[in-house]
Amino acid sequence: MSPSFNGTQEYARTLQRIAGALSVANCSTVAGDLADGHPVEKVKMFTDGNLDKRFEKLRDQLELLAEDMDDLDDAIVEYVRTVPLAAYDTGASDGDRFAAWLPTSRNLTPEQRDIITVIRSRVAVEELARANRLAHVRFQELASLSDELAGDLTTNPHLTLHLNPTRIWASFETDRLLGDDTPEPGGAVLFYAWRTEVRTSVLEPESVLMLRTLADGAPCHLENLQLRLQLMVGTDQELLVDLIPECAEAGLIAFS
Amino acid sequence: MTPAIGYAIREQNRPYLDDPAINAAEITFERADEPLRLDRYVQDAEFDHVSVHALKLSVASADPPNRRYMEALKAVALENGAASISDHLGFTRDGDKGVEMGHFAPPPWTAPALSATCRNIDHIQQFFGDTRFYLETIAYLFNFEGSMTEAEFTSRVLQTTGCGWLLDVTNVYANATNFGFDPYDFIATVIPHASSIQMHLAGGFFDDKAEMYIDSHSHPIPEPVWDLYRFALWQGIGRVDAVFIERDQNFPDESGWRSEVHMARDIAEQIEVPA
Repeated sequence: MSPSFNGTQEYARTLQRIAGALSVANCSTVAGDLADGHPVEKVKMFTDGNLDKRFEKLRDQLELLAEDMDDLDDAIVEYVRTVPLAAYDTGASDGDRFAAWLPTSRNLTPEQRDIITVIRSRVAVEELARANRLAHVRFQELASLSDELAGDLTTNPHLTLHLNPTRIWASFETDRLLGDDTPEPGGAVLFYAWRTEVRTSVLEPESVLMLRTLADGAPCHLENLQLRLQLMVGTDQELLVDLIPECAEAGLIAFS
Repeated sequence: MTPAIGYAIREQNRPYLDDPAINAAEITFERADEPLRLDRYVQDAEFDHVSVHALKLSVASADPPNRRYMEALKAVALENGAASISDHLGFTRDGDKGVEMGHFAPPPWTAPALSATCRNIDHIQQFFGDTRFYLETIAYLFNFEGSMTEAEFTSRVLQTTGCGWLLDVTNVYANATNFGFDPYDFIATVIPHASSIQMHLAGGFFDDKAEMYIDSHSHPIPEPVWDLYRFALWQGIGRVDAVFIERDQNFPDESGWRSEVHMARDIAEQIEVPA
């Protein structure tokens, strides 16, 4: 038996050394740990397979970036060979770590940075849902009933408004990802869960104000939101009656 | 009693999960761990036995799996009415906040590794309570230097912890083919120490360049694996809770999906009801 495997502490140190080396395909490091008749070439098969799978997964997660970045594959290869996969990596966390690493290894264009914003915001939305799954599921259930209750907006001041809890604010530097009829870059962009997808909305200032006000005290009655907005900026009721159904239709607000 | 039999759920086999030969399903945790999912992973299907199969408990690591990962596993188990949880006899990472290799490697078959593995499984079983834990025998490409055989190591883990054994019949076949031991001896040595048993069946291919059988879940289950399955069912009679077929590539057509699960059931029924 190799002396390096004796004792719990030694075992921990040995696994740390082996896992650290194999996570970046440094196979020769473990040559002395192998049993007789087990060549290091088989370890290379193991690490090659792992790196290939990691590359493919990243390529899928970063598909959005491929169109705007000619050397994306080279960047991914460099990343997987230098940055080990983190313990307990979840579905998209490696893609998020790549997106955080990329600006440290290359000068990105503003358009590329906007795509990085999209990738990281989508992962952030998923992580919010993971951390607060009950709230996500409950809101989506309520949102599925929004159509039925939207008609009460003009007649029921006690209608309760719920804000989608799974949302992330961001902004874009360019208009690369904006449609023709959307505001100028620099405005608020909201990423949020809608059923099982992540949606993106570029919002007008009035909607941003209403959602941020609702975020300070949701859920709340319709009349309470009206009062707070009137006190703050004198928003009139007619505007709210237009904005709230739009936000409900987009999946940002639900009623009960 | 005939074990519950079914598939590791993939989108490609969902249309056939109502086949009368199927009364079990295995959920691969990393597939079910979709944070935006609104429905249960098993959807409306009803099974006699559901198991959640994990990839990152890393039971042979020097430290126990972290609570956050186990809580996420438990949530998927509860949501889908799972009776059991399983993971592999191997290590995937160096430590709790460290790095992941991307796949499990076998531990060195040594006393310190045995001690760490048993301690981690005790920790896992304590956390999951009535949801039974099964430890899977992995297919490996290499072994580290050790002081005991894999069969001895596995037997001692099962004896010490009382956890179930997820006997991956194809993995045992692959290891035996690649490293020149008798798969029947391996199963006969380990199975007496397993209080309860699950099985995996799959098909791989022989890689001529590497001169190894690769457990790729990409081909029909080969005849030698069916033979080994028959033997294992005999050896474990009365203790086999569930059998799951795994397929991840080169997906078959409808008759392919249905025929393998019928074959698995027919063999189990022949063994459990002797003539």
